Amino acid sequence: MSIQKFIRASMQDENREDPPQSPPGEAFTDFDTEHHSMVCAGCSCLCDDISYYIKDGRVVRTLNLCEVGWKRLCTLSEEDRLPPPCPSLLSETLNRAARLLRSHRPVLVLGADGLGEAAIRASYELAGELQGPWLPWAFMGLRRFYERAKRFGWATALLDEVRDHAESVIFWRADPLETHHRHLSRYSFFARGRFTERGNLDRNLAAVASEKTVIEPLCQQFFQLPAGRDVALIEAMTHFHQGKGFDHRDFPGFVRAMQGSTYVALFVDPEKVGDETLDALFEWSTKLNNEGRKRMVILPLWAAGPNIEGFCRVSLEKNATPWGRTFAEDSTRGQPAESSWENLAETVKSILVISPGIDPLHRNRLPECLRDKPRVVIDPFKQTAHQDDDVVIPTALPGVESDGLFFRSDGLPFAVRGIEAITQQGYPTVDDVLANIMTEGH
Amino acid sequence: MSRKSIYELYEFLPKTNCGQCGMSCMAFAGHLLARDLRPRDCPVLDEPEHEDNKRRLVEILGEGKKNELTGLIVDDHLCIGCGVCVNVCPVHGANNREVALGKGPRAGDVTVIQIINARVRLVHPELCNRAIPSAPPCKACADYCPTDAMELV
Repeated sequence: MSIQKFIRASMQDENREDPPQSPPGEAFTDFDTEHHSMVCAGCSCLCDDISYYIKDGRVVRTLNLCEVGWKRLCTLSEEDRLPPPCPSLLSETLNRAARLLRSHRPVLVLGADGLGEAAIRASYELAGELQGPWLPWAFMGLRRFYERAKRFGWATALLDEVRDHAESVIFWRADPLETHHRHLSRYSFFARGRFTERGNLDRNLAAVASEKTVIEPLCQQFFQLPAGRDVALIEAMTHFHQGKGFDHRDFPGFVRAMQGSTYVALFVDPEKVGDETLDALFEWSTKLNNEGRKRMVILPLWAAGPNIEGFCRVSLEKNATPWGRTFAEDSTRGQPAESSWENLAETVKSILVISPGIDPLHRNRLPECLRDKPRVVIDPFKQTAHQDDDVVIPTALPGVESDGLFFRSDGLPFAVRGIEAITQQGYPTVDDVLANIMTEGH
Repeated sequence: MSRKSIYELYEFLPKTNCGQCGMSCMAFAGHLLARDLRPRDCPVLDEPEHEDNKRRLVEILGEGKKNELTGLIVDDHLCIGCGVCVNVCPVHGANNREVALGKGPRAGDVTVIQIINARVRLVHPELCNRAIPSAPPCKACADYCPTDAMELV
């Protein structure tokens, strides 16, 4: 979805009242409580400089929050929420969900990558109990990326290191302005660092995409390429000193920028590139790092749940692979999960969809081949798709109404605190719901 | 970033130089660009055959209001709160180390602009270089805005 479409979609359902504004330059005083240095769990940037001002249980003003985080907050209002269940109804719903899932095993437990670490662990245990696959939404890209990391070796870095050192930044079929709005200003391009004291003036920005994207006007080099030409560009970059060229007006500038850089940061969305491209990118990075003259780090920029790194960590710890696993009866422990949606559709009999919060980019849509399976959905919000779901369980919004440990896209852990003043009474946390489904129905 | 031009606006005016607004169509386009006048100030555009042109002009010009001190217009429909403008503002860079390093300004910090409710807001326009006659002309925020939400006129 392009950013313009996203903005239009955002505006369409914005019937909210404008929060009170103080005159320019005057301190904002019309609030009951204020919370500063809060962490936003809207995307895997996990911005930790957010201020919230609360009045009458509603957020009336935020500082430094981008569109993605703001939209999550706006949807907390009652008209967007599923109604809070009364205790007896919740118990009945959980029982119904447990019975449905236990009678349709194996169950696919999908989408824990938007939860706090404790809830991810609970979802893992539940998947074991229900003997099915345990996967994030972006499981195919996750698997492809980490398989390459294992095969080629993986040079990675904290985003703060990228900010301090990176002289050349490349976004390979990933646009931070669509998925991680503050990425450029906080870490990768505009932020000034220890050795990049003039920020963007000390860096070169290049991007590869199949169509014009929002980031294009900011780029010194922009390669608008069809999917099949990625490898040719990487090979030309790898062997440019042997006279190998690439037919694009920005190629000579890209070569000059790479020659003049000692630190290169490459951000790639593994869901949007093929196996060959990922192979070539890792080979390129390995070659440059082995030559010793410059460092090139590769960081995934997932258009996925905000805690996909947390998911990887739990998966690695439990299973020795970061892309989930299957607990099907005929598999042994450690066997990697299935590799495509069609594969999954053949093996699973029902689905537990964990949808922690509204997805402004509409990335997490169940594919057609899985839609006829019975399913239980855990979701804080009303969504039109719920009319086809068998059981819908309303929950608190992770990271806003409940606490959790989240991991930034570079693996740094952040304790995300919920905002007590706006927490709606009566919503169970996702952790509780998963634990209850586990115990119900025995 | 793409900039609106006087010729782009002129294309959608009646181009009859009828003088009902008190000036020629090209001069009217100039005033539209500076946001001194609105499309509704042209009586001819109210006629049914110019309805589409009027709507297009309103779309091009956006709904942002001009800050008289700085000439800054922010289109809330385009702003995504990415914070690039806050980061590249030379006033912030010179006075606030944390902002220069990428963090957003704190609640008590005195800054020219802030991201409030996911939209950029001028909080201290008097500190902006454009409001100081002796300061070098600056348009960094609008130049780097990736969604063209900021315009300086």
